[in-house]
Amino acid sequence: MKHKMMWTIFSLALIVSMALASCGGGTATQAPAPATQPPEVVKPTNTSAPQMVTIRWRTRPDNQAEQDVYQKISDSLNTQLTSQGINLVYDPSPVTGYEDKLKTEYSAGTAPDIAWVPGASSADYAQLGVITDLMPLAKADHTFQLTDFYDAPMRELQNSGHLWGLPRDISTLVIYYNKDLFKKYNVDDPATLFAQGKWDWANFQRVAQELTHPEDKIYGFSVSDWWGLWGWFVYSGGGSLFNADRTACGLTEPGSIAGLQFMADLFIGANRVAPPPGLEGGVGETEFHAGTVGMFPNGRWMTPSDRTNDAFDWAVVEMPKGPGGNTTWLFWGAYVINAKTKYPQQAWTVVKALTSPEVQAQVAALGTNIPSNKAQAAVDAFLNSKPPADNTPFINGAAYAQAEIPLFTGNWNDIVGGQYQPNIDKIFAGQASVQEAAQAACDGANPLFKKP
Amino acid sequence: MPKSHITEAMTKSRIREAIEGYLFLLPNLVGFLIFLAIPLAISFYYSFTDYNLFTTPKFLGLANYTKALGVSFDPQAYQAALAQGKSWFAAIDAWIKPNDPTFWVALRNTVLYALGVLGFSIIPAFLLAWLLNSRLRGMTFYRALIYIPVVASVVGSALVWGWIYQQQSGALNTIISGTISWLNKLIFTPIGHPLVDPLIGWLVLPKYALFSLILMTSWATIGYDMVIFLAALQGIPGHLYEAATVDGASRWHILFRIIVPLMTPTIFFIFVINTISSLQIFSEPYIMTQGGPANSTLTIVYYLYQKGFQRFQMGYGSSLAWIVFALIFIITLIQFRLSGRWVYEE
Repeated sequence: MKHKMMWTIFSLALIVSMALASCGGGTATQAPAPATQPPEVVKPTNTSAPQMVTIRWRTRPDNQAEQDVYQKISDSLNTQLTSQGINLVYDPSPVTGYEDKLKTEYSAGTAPDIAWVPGASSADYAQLGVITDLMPLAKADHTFQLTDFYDAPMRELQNSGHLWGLPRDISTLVIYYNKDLFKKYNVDDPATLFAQGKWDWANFQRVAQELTHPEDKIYGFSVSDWWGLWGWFVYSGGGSLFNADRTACGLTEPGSIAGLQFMADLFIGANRVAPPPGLEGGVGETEFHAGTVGMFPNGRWMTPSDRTNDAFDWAVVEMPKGPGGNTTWLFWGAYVINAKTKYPQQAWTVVKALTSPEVQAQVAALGTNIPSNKAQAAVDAFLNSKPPADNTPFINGAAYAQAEIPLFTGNWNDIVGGQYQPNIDKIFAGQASVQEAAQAACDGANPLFKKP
Repeated sequence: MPKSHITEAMTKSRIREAIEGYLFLLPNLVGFLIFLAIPLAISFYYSFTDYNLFTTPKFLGLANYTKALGVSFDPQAYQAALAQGKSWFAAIDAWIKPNDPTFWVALRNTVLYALGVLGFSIIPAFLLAWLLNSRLRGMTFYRALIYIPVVASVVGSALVWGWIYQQQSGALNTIISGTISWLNKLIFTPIGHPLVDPLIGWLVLPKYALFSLILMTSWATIGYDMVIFLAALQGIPGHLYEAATVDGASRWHILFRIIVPLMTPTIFFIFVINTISSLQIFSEPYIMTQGGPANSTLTIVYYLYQKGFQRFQMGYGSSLAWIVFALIFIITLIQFRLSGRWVYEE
C-alpha cells in the first residue's frame, strides 16, 4: 500500500515536472537572446562608462560569402560601438522563408531590434505598426542628412511625414549578356549599340532573334516570370503597375499594354527568342550561366554567381530604351527598427553605422549590391569591384530608375502576387491575350486597393 | 468483513486506479490540449474575425465564410457572353461571380490533384503488390526499392524532381529528346516526317504543372500503398487459390473474383487515407511552384497559408482551414456511407 502510494507520488511529480518544462519560455515582450550572446552587462552608475545595451540586428544575405561579410561588419562595429554603450549582436537568417520568419517574430514580439525588409514589403510593416518612425530621430540628429542617400528609395521610404527606414543598398536592373555568344553568331554587341545611341526595343529584339538557334538550344533572351522582370516591360512601354496615386491597377493603360505585348511577342509565336518563362523549370538564370542564353536581365545580386559560374566572357549593359524612354528598376531594401525595441536611440545609432559609406563599401566590394549611400568612397568601392569590367550601367540606371514600390494603399502580395502574377502567367502560357490578362488582373486587383 | 466495508474498499480502489490511469494519460492529454485542441478552438474563433496577427481581432460574423463560399449573379454578363458567341458553359461561368474566384480555383486544383493521385498511386500500388507477392529471389530488394520514396524527405524529393522537370536540361526532357532523336534517325526522318521535340515545360506551362505534381506525389505514395496491399494479400488464405485453380480459374479470374473482393477493406482504407492526405497537399506547391504558373498548382492549403502568413489575413486563412476540414469530413463520410455497397466484409 505504502509502496503503491510512493510510486503514485513519484509518477505525479514526474508528470508535473514534464508539464512545467514544456510550458517554459521567454516573455513575449523581450527578444530571446541567442545562445552565443553574452549576458547584458549593467555597470554601476558611473559618468565615464555608459550603460551597455544589447542591440540585435538581422539582414538577409544571399549567400555564405555575404553572410561572412555581415558577421565581420557586425564584429567590427561592435568594437566601435562599445564605447557608446552598445553591444551589437548579429542574428543571421537564411534566405528561404526570411520574411515568414520575421513576420512570425513580429507577431510574437521576438523580432530583432533592427531587421532588413524588402522595399516592396516595407509599407506592410509600417501600416501594421511593427516598425518605428525614424523621422524624429533623423531630425534630432545633426550629423545625419537624408540627402546622403539616393533620392528614389528615400522617397519611397517616406510617407505622410514619416520615415520608415534607411536603405541598406540598391540594385538597378541591367542586362547581363554573353559576349562570346554574340561573337560566335556575329551579332552586334549591345554595349556597342548603346554607345551609338541605338540600344532600343527594335535593335534589342533584332539581336535577340539573331542569337536564337533553337536547334542548338541557344536562346537570345530570357526572363523568369518574376514581377521585377515582366514589370520592366510595363514601364518601358510607357505604362505603370499602378495609377498615379497608387489606388488602382495600371496594367490596362495603353503604355502597359504596349509593354506587355512587346514582351509576349518575344516568347510566343514563330519569332520567339526563348520558350515561355516560368518561375522554376524554364529557361532562366541557370541557362545563362550554362552559356545557352545570350541576354538575361537581373539585378546586381547575380554578379557573384557570374563570377563563380560563367565560363565565358560576359558584361552588362543598361536596359534598352522603349516608348517610355530610358527605364529600369531600382530594387532596394531597408533597415527598419522594431517598434517594440527598448532602445530606439541606440538602434538608430546602429542603423546609421550600418548604412555608412565605410560599411557599404565593404559589402560593395563583394559585388552583390550597390551602396545606397551616395558618398564617393562607397561608389568607388563598387565601381572597383570587378568583373564586370564596366560597372557604370548599374550606377547610370539609378538616375532614371523606377524605385521598387511599397504600397501604402494595399497589400503588395495580395495585389501583385495574387492578382497580377497569375494573369501575366496566362500570357506566357498563351491562355489569354495581353488585353484579356491585363483586364482580368485589374478586375481582381482594383477592389483590393484602399481608396483615399 | 461487512459487505459495506468491502464495497467501500472496492470503490476506493477503483477511484485510485482511475486516478492513476488519468495521471498516466496526462502528458498526452496536456499535449493534445495545448498543441491541438486549444489552437483549434482559437483558430475557429479567428475564422469569424478580421485578424492580421498584430492588432486585436475584429469580429465579423460569417463574413469570411461568405467571402470564400459566396457567389453573386450577373445576368448582363451572361447575356453578353451569349451575344459574343461563347458557349453555354462560358456564359454560365460569366453569370456566376464568386466572391473569391481564387478560392474556387484552389479548390478545383485540390480536387483534381486528389483524383489524380488516387488514380496514379492506388492502382499501380495494387498491381505492384500483386506482382511482388511471390517467393522469388530478390523480392525483398524490390519491395525495399519501391518503399524508399516513402521515407525520402519531401523537401529533398521536391528539389530533385524540380531538376528532373527542368525544361532544357532535366532528365525527363533529355530522355524524351533522346528517344525522339533515335526514332527520327531510325524511322521518321527517312520517310520525311521527323517528329518534333516537344521540350515540355513541365513546371512552366499550366496544362502540365499540376500533372507534374501528381506524378511526383504518386511516386512518393506508391511504396506505402504497396506495403499495405502486400500485407493484406499475404493474409488471403492459400486454400482459396488452390480451390480456384482446381476449378479451372485463370490468373485473371483469381485476381478479379477472389483477390480484389477480399482486398476491398484494404483498398477502402488506402482510398480514405490517400484522399485525406492529398486534399491537404502543401509542401510540393510551396517548394516547387509557389502555386503557379497562373495559379494552376495553387491548392487550398497553400492558398490559406498565403492568406494567413504572407498577406496578414489570418482570420480569412482560418476560415479557409475550417472549410477544408468540413470538405474532408464530408467526403470521408460519403466514402464510409458508400463503402457498404462495394466493401466485402467477412
